[in-house]
Amino acid sequence: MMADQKHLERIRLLSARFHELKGLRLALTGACITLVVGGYLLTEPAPSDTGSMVALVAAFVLLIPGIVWLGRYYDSTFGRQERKPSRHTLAFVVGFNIVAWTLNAAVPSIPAGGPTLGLVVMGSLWLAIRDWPYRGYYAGVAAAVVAAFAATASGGGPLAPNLTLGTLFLAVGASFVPVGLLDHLLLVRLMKETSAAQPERARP
Amino acid sequence: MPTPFETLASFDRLIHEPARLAILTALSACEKADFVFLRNLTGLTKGNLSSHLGKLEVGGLVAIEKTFAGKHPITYVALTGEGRDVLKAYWKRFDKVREGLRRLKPLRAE
Repeated sequence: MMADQKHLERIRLLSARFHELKGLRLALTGACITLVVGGYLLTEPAPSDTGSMVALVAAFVLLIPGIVWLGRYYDSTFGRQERKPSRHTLAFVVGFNIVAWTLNAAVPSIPAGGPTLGLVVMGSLWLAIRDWPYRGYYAGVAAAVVAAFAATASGGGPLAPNLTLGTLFLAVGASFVPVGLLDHLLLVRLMKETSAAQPERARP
Repeated sequence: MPTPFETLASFDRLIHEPARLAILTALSACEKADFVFLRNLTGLTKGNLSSHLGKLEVGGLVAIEKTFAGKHPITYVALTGEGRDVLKAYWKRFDKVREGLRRLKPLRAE
């Protein structure tokens, strides 16, 4: 009975987190951010926060075809599923933007994009705790951002202040690659485990 | 008061069957899922899955919707309101049985 319970819990986890576990999309996003923002920091003689933001937007535009292709790959390989509609998403996005804008306006030392990076740290820690032990590796994203912040002038480190945002974007992008790959591997492993556990008990 | 074993025996076979319970559990965590997703998740063959879904549909626990994505036919399956209520009630009873079994004392040889 306990084995069945565990099997069903795994099915429920997989069904509830299916879209989040399509990790190749996150890995591609991370790779694009790393390449574009990293390229900008390496080639621009005097990188700025604004330039880093533009590089980030360019990375997002570049990855659109890849995301569409990966969406088709996941649909055909693992099947389609629609999430329950979330009632709080819109309220959260609006609320967060108001808070971020107010913070940026009131505290000039916080670079544009800083609150978003804070959200990435909090969000990744929350994911690591919520899906522990399956997705504990999300703590690595938070660690990478905090380490990158500590390395910049705003965090008391040796890197120049104009590198703060670019370095943080680079850290986020680079940490998304392994985390996305691990999510994808978790999806494949859970699918294999749940489907392998069923057939012996499943005659109609 | 029924014993845990009597309660267990009185469970509705439509839900209590492992493959159908797996299908319902998967559907309870999402809005709707297609046939390929359910087949991957449960490891059932096409025929077995169709048969189980047919029984669940006749029982009013799931709704099946056939549609197209471009030229590809897709079969979506979703839990009905009744299906959600029945599954919730099932887990409530199941937890009670588990609690009852935990309270049972093992027999000692005299």
